Amino acid sequence: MEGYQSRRRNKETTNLDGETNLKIKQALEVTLDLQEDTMFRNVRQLIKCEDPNANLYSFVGTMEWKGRRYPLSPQQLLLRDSKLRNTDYIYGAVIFTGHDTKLMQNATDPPSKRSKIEKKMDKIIYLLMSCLLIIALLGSVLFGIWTKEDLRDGELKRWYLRPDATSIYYDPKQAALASFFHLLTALMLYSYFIPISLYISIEMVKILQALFINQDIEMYHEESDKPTHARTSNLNEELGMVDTILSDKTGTLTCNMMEFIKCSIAGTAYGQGVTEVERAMAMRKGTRLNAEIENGNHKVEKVDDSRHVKGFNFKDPRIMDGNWIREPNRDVIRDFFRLLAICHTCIPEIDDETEKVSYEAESPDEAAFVIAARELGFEFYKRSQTSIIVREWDPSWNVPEERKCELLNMLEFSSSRKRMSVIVKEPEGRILLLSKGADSVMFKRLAPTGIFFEEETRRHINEYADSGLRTLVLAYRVLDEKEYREFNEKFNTAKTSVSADRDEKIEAAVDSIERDLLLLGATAVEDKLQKGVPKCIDKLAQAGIKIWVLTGDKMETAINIGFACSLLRQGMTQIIITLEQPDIIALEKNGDKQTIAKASKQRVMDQIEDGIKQIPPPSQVSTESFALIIDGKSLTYALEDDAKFKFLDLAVKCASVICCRSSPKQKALVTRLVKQVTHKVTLAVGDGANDVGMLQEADIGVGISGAEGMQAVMASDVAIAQFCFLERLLLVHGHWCYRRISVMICYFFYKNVTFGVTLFLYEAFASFSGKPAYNDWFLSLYNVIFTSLPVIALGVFDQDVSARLCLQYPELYQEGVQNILFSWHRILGWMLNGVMNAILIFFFCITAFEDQAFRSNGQIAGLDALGVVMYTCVVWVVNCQMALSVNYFTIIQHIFIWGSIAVWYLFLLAYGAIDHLGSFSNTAYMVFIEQLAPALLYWLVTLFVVIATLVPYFSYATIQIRFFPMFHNKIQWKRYLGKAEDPEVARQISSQHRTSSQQRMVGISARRDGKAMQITREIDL
Amino acid sequence: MSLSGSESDSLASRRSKKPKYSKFTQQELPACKPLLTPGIVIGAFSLIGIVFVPIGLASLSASQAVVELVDRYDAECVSANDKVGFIQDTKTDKACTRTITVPKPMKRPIHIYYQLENYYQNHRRYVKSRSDKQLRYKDSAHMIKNCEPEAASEDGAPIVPCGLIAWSLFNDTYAFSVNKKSIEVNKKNIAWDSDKSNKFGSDVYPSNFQKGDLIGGAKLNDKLPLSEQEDLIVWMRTAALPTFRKLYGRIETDIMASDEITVVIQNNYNTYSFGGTKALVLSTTSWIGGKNNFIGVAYVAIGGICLFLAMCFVVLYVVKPRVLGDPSYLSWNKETPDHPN
Repeated sequence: MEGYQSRRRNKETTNLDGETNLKIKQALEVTLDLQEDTMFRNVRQLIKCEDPNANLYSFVGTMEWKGRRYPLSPQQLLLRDSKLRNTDYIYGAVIFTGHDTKLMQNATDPPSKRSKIEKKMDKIIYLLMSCLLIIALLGSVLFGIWTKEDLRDGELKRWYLRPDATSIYYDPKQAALASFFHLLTALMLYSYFIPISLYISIEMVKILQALFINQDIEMYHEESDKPTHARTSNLNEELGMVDTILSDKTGTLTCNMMEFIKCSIAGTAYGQGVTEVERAMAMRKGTRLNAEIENGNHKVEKVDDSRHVKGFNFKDPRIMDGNWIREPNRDVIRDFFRLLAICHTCIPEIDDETEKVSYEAESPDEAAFVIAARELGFEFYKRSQTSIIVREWDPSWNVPEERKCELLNMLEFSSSRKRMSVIVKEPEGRILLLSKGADSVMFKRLAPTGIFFEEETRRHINEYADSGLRTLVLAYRVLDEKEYREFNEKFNTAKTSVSADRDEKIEAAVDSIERDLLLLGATAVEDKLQKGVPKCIDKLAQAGIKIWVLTGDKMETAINIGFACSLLRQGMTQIIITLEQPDIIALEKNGDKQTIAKASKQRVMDQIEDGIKQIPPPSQVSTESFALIIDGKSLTYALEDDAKFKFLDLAVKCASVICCRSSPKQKALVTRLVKQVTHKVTLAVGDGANDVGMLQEADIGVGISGAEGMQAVMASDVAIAQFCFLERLLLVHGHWCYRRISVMICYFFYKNVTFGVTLFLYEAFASFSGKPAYNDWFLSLYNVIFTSLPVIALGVFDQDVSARLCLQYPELYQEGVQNILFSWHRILGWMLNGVMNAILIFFFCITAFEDQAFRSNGQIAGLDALGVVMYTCVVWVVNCQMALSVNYFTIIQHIFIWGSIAVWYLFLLAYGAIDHLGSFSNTAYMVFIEQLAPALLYWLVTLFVVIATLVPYFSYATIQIRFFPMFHNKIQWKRYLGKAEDPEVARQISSQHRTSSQQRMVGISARRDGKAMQITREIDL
Repeated sequence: MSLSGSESDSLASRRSKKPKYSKFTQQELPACKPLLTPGIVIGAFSLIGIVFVPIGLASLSASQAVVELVDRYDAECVSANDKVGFIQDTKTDKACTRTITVPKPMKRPIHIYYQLENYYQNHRRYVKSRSDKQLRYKDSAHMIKNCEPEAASEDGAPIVPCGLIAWSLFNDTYAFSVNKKSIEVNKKNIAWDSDKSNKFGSDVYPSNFQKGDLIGGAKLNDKLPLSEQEDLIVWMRTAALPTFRKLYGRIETDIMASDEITVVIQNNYNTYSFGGTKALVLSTTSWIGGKNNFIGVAYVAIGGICLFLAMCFVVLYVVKPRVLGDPSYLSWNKETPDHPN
């Protein structure tokens, strides 16, 4: 249910856009006096509004009341699934219900997902089916011809078959019909080409793989007691093929927690906390710095243990515990923190029992400022409509002193102003304009006299930004009475004016007062990343996975986070596509819908074109990398059919892509676009209800089972507790599962082709009559007993390299992305191997047992004996081939492989011993024990066939591994030589493996490299 | 206190969803990770070579020691132009005398086989046309479901043994004499023991056999139980391939080199309709069975190829010893400098 409300209140929209901060909703001013039920008796209002749509951030409507029309905006709209906070009740009217609500408009149907491997497997099945059909047809035609020839002009040819008195299946007079029936027989007989058991085996293997993923202790999150949970086992191997990760921001990359961590006051930098980014960068830089940071880190952690305040991670003995009083710039420091305590829009809430103050803020960074001020002795205590009360601890007296500042004006934050100011009157009588804002706007507004530590501050801000912090510049100005009065008048007239240029008037008034500011310093707030996120992103980037951030956040926030997790860095060209441009905004104010759409579309297209032009063609060697940042409104146009390919073309060329202000639907649409156009595997990560569409749309949806409810997890395919588990999930489990499944499928086809071809070849020697070479039970049990377990063991346990090496060589992951192990030539290679093996087995066996006696007492091997010989060879060859293909021989593999062979002999013994009461084991009766086991030739042939059949593969594998090693082979060699752990070796192998187009463009390592390059360039200059 | 502490700990760990650590669940089982290193490869190939060549030579010599005489007689034993007409005529005398000179001495027992070519005993219709129950049990004579059209006689009585296989029983006979002196052919123990004891009943006697219009092959002695009709038992173990031999009997005397064996063949069996051939085979055996050089040659060949491959790999590893991307071969990583200066 959605409606508009009649009182100013806050609401939470977590489930809609993932942001946890509160949004202010306000009723129209004309309805403010409708406070009682009874007052609505005579209210006749008419609301006209737009059709239901999925856009969360826009709403167009009017309300007609008492003959006047009032515009309705998203400010008046309460969306379904948002929560009302700080409000007991509201009056409202329902606008949309059910499927018309924005939430439902954003919902997508849960899809059924199948992995790419399985889809490709279907194609192989079709291929084999056609092979099957072809050979069955071939057999039928030949059978028909031979059958027809059996009876010519009433003369019996193969009289012993009695073609004159036969059933329809062999009738020479109706050879065509017989041939058709034979086709059915042949289809049944050769059905071994198509491994039905493959599907069952794959299901079993995947379930077991999923169990192993769930059981991984390294992906268990201690604090929340949540292990990783693979909710569907369908997509295990797809985890090893991810090309693009589409990630939500809030709650996924970040903990949604702002921490005040550093500040620069009067040109001096304070704060020793270490950010996640710095930590990760230092870790890669080398040991010297590493140790330094580690030590610092250690200290910090110790302090952390003793007392940690949420939102405050500032450590500096020079300022804390009242020590700031001994700093040379103590006046500036005091003004700095006073400003933090006063200039904001937070609301204090005092816990009655503990007397502790907590704050409700519109954005978490505001809260972080107020908390920081409180922790340093400037406690924002009470706010009324007209005043702000701050309790100050004077360090020299150590008693709280209440200062009540009169709040004169509030100049609110907007994304175009990028700053906010308050005008207050101090108890001492001074009128102050306190202002904080982005450095880009603030430095321009400084007074010429107020810039004497501007240089240092700028340097600090750059440093902060580089370590992924959000910075704000703080400045103030003392106003004299007259000046203020003039401004207030101007401001009030502007505010109360009803003309169209009201906003411009306000803007002009505000602009006139917010100048000639005196610089105080800058703050740095860390949008706390989840543990290990930069490192994880770095690894994923090294693995060649592209990472896109899709967030509902503001552009500034998104860019900040981009910096924080190294998706963006200094020196990267940012291509920003936005419609927040003056002329478009102006158009939106008065233009009609079509012109807006047209102009917006044109603008977006132009920006995309410009972006494409900026990027040099791939042939040109360039060290420059690009980042694309696009906002939701532009995205709407960019995703239209005629623009989307261009947009994607641009996006794919950029090292990182950030989409901000995007609605759940847009997230899903972007995901779909990437998935459909690139045909690569996409993985979406998210934690909130707003990510559900994206998770469902992506090939794999990974839900973060964090704080934000269960919707994302319910819609996901894999649930993890922390973003950083993604590294292990993809690089280790994904890679393993991909490898296992693809090798397993190839092997499965191989073993069935081997078996099927021996059957077919035998047919050629039995005039295609459909007589199988093997006993019926042998046929049925081939896939069930004698060859099933080793292949399942391969699918569940095999590992080419250990988990540690998987993580150390992230480039290994590309084997899955490029689908090297399941490429057509590999699949066909395996099948060809199968055909070759079958041909060798068959001809070796029939030549060795041709027609002579096979043992010293002169007896001849009949059909039953030869069948057993061939079958023995097939079982041996297929299992030994498995032994050659396995990379990881545990006791389980040994038991399964050699056990399967042993079981075959045991089966022969047991089955052959069954007395043929009821003709149970007819043709196999005593074949092994009486005929074959005492014959030396049988054992010689087995040994010979196994070795001779496998020598070609063995030689091929030897040469390939030694002279044309694939990446995992190289790592195996290193492990063998005992050098795999050496980071220097790792770097060399990796850099050889990386092609220029795959060069890391994002991540900490890239940032480090980029910085090094920058420094070199500077030195050169 | 400590007690309650540990208790609550264990309680917590029980409730916790933390996966239990074990080498199995963490996929860290101790494993052998075989890598095809030069040592292993060369070793494996050499081993195969060293084992295979002697085996091959031994098999080859055993096969060479076997004396095998093959005499195809289907063409020579029919003088008439219309061979099919000749063979189908029941009245003509089909005796045919063949003389074979023995090139090498043959030690007893000398196995006698008949060899048929282009005869599809493995045809599905043919293979299925029998009744195992009927062959074994006296009271199962009526189980003739698969035996059409040789299932029952015209008056409906079941044929024992029924089916096409039995009906087409080979009926050429051979009488041997060495240097004009006739010798005995031992026709005992030419079938597998398990067949005689378990597949063919000792109380089942032929009945209504070969009584129809169309006579297929040999007739059976109605007085002998099936378990003693060894020719039938041998015939009914169907051959795997269209060219096959079947054991006919054994000669239990040695035959010297350049002795002349005279065989009087009753050429009854019709292979002319379908263009098959017939041959008489006399063969001694060794531990490897009859004469077939294939397995010996194959062993020697594969052994030789493996030795050759081993040598190739030795050369390859010497010529191109480095693994791609092995930094230990980079000049600055080598212990001995490449350049003398």
